[in-house]
Amino acid sequence: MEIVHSGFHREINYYLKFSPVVSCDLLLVQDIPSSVYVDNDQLFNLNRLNKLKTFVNSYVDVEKSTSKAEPFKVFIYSQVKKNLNITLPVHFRYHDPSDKKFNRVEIESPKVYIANCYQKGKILSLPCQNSTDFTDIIDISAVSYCPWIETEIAPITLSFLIPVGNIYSYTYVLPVTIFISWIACLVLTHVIIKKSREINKKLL
Amino acid sequence: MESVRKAKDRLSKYPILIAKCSISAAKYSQCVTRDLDIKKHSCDKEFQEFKKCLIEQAKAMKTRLKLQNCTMSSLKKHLLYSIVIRLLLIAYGEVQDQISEVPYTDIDYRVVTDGARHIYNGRSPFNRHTYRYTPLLAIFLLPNIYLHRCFGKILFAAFDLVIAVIIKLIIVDEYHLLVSAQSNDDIKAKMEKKFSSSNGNGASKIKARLSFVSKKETATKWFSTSDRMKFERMGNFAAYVWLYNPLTMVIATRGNGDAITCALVLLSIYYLLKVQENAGNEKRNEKNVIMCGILHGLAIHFRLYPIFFSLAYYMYLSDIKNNIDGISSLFKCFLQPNRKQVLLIVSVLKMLIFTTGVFYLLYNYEFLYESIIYHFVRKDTRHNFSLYFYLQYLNSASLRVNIIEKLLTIMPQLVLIILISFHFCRTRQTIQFALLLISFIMVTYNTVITSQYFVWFLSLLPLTVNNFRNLTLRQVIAMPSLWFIGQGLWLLAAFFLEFKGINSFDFIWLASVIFFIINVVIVQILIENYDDSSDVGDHFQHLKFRLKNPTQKAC
Repeated sequence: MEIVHSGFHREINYYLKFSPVVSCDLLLVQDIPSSVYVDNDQLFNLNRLNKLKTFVNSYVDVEKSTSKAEPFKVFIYSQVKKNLNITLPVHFRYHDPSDKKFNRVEIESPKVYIANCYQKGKILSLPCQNSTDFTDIIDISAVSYCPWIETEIAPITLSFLIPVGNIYSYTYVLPVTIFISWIACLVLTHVIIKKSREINKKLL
Repeated sequence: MESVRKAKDRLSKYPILIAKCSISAAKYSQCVTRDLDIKKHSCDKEFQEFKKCLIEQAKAMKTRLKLQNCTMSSLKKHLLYSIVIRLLLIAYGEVQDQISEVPYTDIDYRVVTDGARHIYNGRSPFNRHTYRYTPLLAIFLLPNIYLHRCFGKILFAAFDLVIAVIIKLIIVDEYHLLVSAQSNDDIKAKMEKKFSSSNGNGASKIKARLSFVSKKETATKWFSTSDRMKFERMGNFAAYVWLYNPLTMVIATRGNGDAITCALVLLSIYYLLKVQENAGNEKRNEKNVIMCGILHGLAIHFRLYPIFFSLAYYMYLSDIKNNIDGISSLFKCFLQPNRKQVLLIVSVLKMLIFTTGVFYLLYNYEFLYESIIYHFVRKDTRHNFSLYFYLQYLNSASLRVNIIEKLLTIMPQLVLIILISFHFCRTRQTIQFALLLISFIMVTYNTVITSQYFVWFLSLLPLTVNNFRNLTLRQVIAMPSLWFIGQGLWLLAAFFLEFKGINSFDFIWLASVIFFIINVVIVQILIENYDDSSDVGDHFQHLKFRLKNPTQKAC
């Protein structure tokens, strides 16, 4: 598991290797912390093009900042193969401004489940593979659950730095912003009144 | 040379043609000279007979006759081209959507289509997350579900064409109105002068003449054909500016419904401009005011931003047209509304209450919140072009709302919009320019600016093409270049933050300040170089010349 690209828009790449290859359905359950989000509509497009089959069990508000957002789960569906690559596009949320320049964000590795093959293990009830057909959040309650068997993987934690606004900038951003907006207002007021006098002189 | 000879040959046959149709020609000429105050289409029957005869005779003589309606043909041709371009873009969009991860279709188009599907299934369109439009939009797009998913795009593209036609109508109409108003005033003034110095007998004649000239149709008669063609050309040019603007083409064919709002705004302006101070036409005027109000109300229902044009419309209907001297006259035309102004307010309110009421009954609070309240409380602190972005972001952490700070950010644009409404909106010559300024300032000072907001003033730009003749070539090139450079700077700073993970917030803020200043400078240049005389002055010269000999009929 690794993360590629830089900045606010990134991709999580999962590399999975299975040694006895059996034909099983595969499910990755990725915990998404509140500082990260997936774009429902972007995932829908990937679903449509059969590039990535996913299901998100809640509506993700992409505009919320980290402090107001909630963590959630993304369900990624695939098939067991010898070498499997899966790419999930993720985006970072804005953090509240602070006295630091960067904030640390961490993403834990997903939980891996298999189903529809003769394997033994701890059975959990999780959304079925056909959940990816849901295109609208309103239908989520109708999702059906299937038995999935948990598989052990070595846990990894990815960590990165996200730029945040500097709280001390406020001391100059506030006066300069307000000052410029008002100066512009005064200049335009002057121009408007001058022109209006000219026009009226002509019209009369 | 062969063609010239042929043409000469053909022309030489025309008098024979007319002679052969002498009976119907005589009937037609009798009809047009019967009334002093002739109206359009009143001799249609006679003309059609005459035309039919000419065509028959031309056929018999085996000569070609060119009979065509030249007023719309040019625009019609370009409308056809625009339809083809837009259909091709829609078809291209279908292909890109099929193969690319980044679809051509606007994300909101999918949202509205999903909303339409919910309505189709008897549910509320607000069941679709992020559906933040009027339910009317989803209703319009119902055929997306049972006909074809491209229906909406074709509908929006059709609205694009409607906008072009309205733009042309407004420009052509504006000139007719301007000239009619001026000629009425001129003639009336002259007649009144004569009236006061003549005896009773002459006075009654002049009185009859006075009532005659007060009609709009009469005034337009004082134009020569070339004048009218000039208007047509100007209108066509403005329409092309809209039709061939790549931005508008792409916006409509990607499935953005803003074309509907733009069309509503322009239609309301069209009816507003039709309102005249003609005493005889008071009833018609009131109808125009009501139409304007209804359309304006609907435009606000579709998208909130036209609400900022309300004061401009209101001031336009004020009786005081000349300079406002002092605060007292200013308040007089604002605080003492005339009948038309009251009618405007009432019809806008009626429309708003009606649409809001109907959809509230259908979809309850969800409608109110998603399509109205949300747009007021929306707080998107992520980086955007706005001057206020960084300030808002730095403020987002604190829970308490600083009212003074809020006032300081809202006040400048309110002051400017009110000032423009008061100073530039009372005459026909200036109101379109004023509306362009209002939309430009609205966007410049907005607390959130993304590229889609630029459409707000792009639809009003063609209406004012005529007012920018004072601009030098250097200014014409410099303004858009500066504007794009400002955007480029901002995009560069944003790129470092968004895609490189570099903390460039300060630079983004600096770029947004620069972009804001560029916008303000552009507004300043536009106002300073605003050309209010334009072509109309020339027309008045013509008019004055012709009025010296009023019995001579132009056209």
